[in-house]
Amino acid sequence: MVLFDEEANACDQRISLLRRELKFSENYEFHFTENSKRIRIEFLKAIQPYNFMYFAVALNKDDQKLWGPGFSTKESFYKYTCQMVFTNAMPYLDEAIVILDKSGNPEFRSRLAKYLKKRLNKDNQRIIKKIKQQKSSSNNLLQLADYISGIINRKSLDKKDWHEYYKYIAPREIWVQVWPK
Amino acid sequence: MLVFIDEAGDTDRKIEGGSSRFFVISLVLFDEEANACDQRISLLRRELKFSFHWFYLMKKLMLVTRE
Repeated sequence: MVLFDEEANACDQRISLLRRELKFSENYEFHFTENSKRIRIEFLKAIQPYNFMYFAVALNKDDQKLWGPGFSTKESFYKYTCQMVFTNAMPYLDEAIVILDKSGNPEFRSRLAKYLKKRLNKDNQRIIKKIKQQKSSSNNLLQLADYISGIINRKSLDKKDWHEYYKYIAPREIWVQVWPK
Repeated sequence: MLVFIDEAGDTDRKIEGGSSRFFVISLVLFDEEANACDQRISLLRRELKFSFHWFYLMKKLMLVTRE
């Protein structure tokens, strides 16, 4: 169990070091949509050596494709997408400590945590051990998750330069589901 | 096992009004694949710690010198 933390810890420290190399303040938050191309590439090169995997769900919000009660409110929309990505990752998860971005409505985040635990944990298998909420500004690995989401969004939109970023994370991809097709 | 969740886009349905076309949630997982690299990572941690201590020491010294 310690080994997981070692790898995450090493990646975390590398991102902190990158901040210094780029002469940013200790509180600087890497954010894919706000960063320049140069910063994006530097960030993606820095995280290259670390062993992580990712799953993503890209929900196409086109009215012609997406309808139903699960998408009527913002809260149910978020819950549904979250549940999809966890279900896809389920074979890989065991006693996971989950860290969510603290921004947004704290009551909703608490409800989401309860919902995910109830839906995914079974009597004989605990998929999620604990769910924590942390500020993305103070958590480098939430900033890494932001980069992954940003790149998958860009790829889903078929923006002309998506492959320039995607090539750095492609080897870490397990499954990205674009839904509905 | 550590899992980090973050999203891109928004959950608003008014795409013509400026909302994103896609809503993306990513799940980043750090798993035990690090096993083979365990020793190297431990060493890296020590190296980085050393360099961080050195960095702070230099920063402190520079502040003292300026005062």
